[in-house]
Amino acid sequence: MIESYANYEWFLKKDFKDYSGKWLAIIDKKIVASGNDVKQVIQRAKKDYPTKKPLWIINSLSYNNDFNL
Amino acid sequence: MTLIYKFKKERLENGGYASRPRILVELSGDDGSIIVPALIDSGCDTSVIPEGIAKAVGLNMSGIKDKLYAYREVNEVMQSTANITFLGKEYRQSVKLPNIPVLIALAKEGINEEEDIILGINGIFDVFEITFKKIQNKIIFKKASKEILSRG
Repeated sequence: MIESYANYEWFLKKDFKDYSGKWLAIIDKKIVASGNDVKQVIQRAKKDYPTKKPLWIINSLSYNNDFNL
Repeated sequence: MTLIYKFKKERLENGGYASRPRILVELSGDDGSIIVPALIDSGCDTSVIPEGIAKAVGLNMSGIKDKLYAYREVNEVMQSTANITFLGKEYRQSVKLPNIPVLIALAKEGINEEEDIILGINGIFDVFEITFKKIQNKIIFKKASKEILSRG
């Protein structure tokens, strides 16, 4: 299984309530960087893990409107 | 070629939950790529990418400005294209679609915008036969045969 798919399966089961509204970088089923600015989070993850391709998510709990169209 | 994705149960601010179809894709532009669990939406004409992500991967930001109409609201958008790779469990399963038309949702100053990537019909539903099986928690992407594609 490719690493990104393993991260995806982990993501599907995980509750990210503690990271409301933040961008997250996931590598090896761990959150390795988080923040409000996507560019800064990308730079931090790339610096710490230059050879890895993280799974990026934004926690949808942050949205003001509860239900999407 | 068949790709299988799942719904994610996501908690809402009102305490409830929604199950959303999350599709594992790699979005590529001139400056790099990111892998994200995007939402697939059969009610969306064209895929939508937030400005922050578009800039991060280097999508062309010089396209025609347009408006995106959603339920009782209008958003400023810019026409562009992106390379979108649908990732499978194994590398050989992945399907790359180059130059998919997208709309970049332009950020409104001081407002915390929704940051999801929405995968719409244009350029995607023309290539895949997509089946939603909520009860089985599966979203099945089957790449259409060359014969079907040539008919399209």
